[in-house]
Amino acid sequence: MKKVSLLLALCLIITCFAGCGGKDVSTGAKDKIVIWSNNAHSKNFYNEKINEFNKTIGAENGIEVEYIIKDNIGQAVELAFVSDQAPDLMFGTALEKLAGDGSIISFDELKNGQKYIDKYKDHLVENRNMVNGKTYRLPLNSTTYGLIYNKDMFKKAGIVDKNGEPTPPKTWDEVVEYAKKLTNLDKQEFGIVFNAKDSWWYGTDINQFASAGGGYVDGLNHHTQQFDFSGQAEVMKKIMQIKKDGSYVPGAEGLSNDAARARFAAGGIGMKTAGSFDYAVLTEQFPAKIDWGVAPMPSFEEDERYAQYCLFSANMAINRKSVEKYGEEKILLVYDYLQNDDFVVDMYKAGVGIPYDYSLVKDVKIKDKPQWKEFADLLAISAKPSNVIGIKSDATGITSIVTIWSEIWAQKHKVSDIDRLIADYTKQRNAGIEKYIKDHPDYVVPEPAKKDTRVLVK
Amino acid sequence: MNILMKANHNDIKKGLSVQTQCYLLIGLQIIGFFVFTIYPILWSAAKSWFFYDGVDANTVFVGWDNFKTIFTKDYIYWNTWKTTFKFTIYKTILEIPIALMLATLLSKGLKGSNFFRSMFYLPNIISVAIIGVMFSNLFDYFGVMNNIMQKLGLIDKPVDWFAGTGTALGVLVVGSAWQTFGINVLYFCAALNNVPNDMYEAAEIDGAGPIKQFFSITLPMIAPVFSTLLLLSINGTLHTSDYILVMTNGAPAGTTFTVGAYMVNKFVPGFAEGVVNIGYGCALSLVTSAIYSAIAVIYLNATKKLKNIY
Repeated sequence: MKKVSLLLALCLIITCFAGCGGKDVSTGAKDKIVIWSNNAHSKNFYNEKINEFNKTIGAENGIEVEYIIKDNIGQAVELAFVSDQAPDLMFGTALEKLAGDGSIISFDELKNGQKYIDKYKDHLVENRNMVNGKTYRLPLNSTTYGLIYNKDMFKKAGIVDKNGEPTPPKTWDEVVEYAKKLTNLDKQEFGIVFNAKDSWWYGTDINQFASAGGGYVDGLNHHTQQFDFSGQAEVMKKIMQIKKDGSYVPGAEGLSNDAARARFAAGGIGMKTAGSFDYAVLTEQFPAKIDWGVAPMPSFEEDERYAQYCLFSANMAINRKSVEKYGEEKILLVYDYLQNDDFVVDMYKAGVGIPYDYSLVKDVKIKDKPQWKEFADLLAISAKPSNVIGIKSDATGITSIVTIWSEIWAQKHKVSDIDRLIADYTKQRNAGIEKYIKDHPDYVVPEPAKKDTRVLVK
Repeated sequence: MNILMKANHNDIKKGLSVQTQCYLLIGLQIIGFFVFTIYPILWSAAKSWFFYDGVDANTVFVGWDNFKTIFTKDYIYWNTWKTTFKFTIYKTILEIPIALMLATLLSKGLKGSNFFRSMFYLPNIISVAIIGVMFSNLFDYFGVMNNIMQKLGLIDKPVDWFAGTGTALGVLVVGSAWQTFGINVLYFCAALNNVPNDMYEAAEIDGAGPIKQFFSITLPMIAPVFSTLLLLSINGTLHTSDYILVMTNGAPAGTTFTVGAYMVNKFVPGFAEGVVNIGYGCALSLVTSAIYSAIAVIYLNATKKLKNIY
């Protein structure tokens, strides 16, 4: 009995180490290259492409690629590097950290890396693709943002051009005006929907959407290296006017983005802010029952429109040890297949990703995805990637602008106080710059941009 | 003598062997406790004296700055304590009497008691995320609650439950009490089963009615268990964070954030917007832990007498 108990105890301990198995590096004669991604939406597309690669180029060169979707990929990758089980190629990494500790290799260190750096040099951004000037990830996709609108409601309300086609708002004043026109409480129709439950509501609807009117995204003026949230303050005032008019879906504080999107898809809502990722949401997840379109972000003045915010995403980072194990040639063969222009255009045609460069898809015709094309066309009026490094600021102890906005929305402050509140916040954030520099004597203050980074597109 | 010594030696050998087996069996738990509980606590406590944003190169020792900020600038943190106490008090006042009342009824041995006991416990096994979605939909502006209340003529127009702090807190209390009252029913049932029946019989003979019996016999007899249950309930409610994040995410305007929800929302990477000072978040955790411990000590001292009430 004693022996049985001892054996049981030992078995219990041993089974806990079962998860510590090593990485399977090869199947037969082929080198198995593992890719981790956090993008479940494009999984089918990638699996198809990777199967294609494995049967053709992979088979010729003794490579087999395995594509794995991981939740919480940032943490998973960090833990994997600590336990020496990291994948060979990975998306969604904490770039600065992994570059800093040498876990990932830069293209600058690769023998054949320079050709990639030269090709993509206009699209390489510090802290997204590069760390301290070295390129670790190449550009892949972009996410554009705009105002989606219910064409049926616009037509019914008479907000149309001379051809009877709906005319979405171009300015924030028009957003306020149209939202009021589209609202009909008896029919439970509302001009616009807000997902006020989400913490990032400020981040998208106000911070990013201030850009077309000339607001600095995240409030940072790279030319002066000082904060300026005046653009965001203007958007706040417009949204508060919409609230005063009652032109929004009530119960916004209880609406998450998913619920808001589902309601927009069901009809009865005139407008909603959206990103290009919402195309898949409104065609597959919550198929829209309405005829909808995509419009650019509204500006403050009709004849003064600035390049609007766009999010550029990067391709995979390369595990340094994988280059040592399999050789640079094999790794780059895989990377190139999932990076070249044809791949990027195929992503666009499949409705999975808009390329980082509009010129690649400007003339590509896709018949059955009109809204996807409209999201892609927004790239032409979006801000290009910028290599100006933003100055850091210590915001410890400062009431965040997200909190300030939520208090304004909850009417704990008057609309007439918005300018004062934002000015106070701006002053504190600028003081935070000095604090950060003082507390971090080794911090190299980045060079300011030679001129204002906002670009007029009209 | 030799036989005795031999016998004792055998006993000792047997004892050591059993001891070793026991330690081996719980060894995993102990290792896990140190690795996954003690070490992170110590790591977090150490980071409280640093500016740390997740990148080692940016980590800087800031001394007592984080703590000075907590006690002199972060009024939002102290407001979340007010919300936490309100949430705890309202929920406890709602949940504990209902649980006790239901347990008292169930202990009468009525028909269907077992079925109801299981049903009352069911919400406890539903995940917090599902409960958040359920109650968010129930209390939506266009949701079932408003619909029913309008049809019953209780309200003229729908209530925007999450637009006001009072109404939002009310929904949170109801949802949370619904989820956890079942486990308290079970605990109370167990406590009530240990009250001897002859005490009730004697009381009945003396002419005491049900209410008198409840306050003079039932409550004092279950007092030690009651005080432990109350501590667990209060402690669990004080720690509530994920439920708040799922239900209201602090709406409106962060006024329904409990302490735990506030810290996760503002300082945990992945939840918080932008780059955050994780070191400051660690300092907040340290201060919060100290306050939780103080509450537990005060409570235990205040309820010492309940242990010996009978």
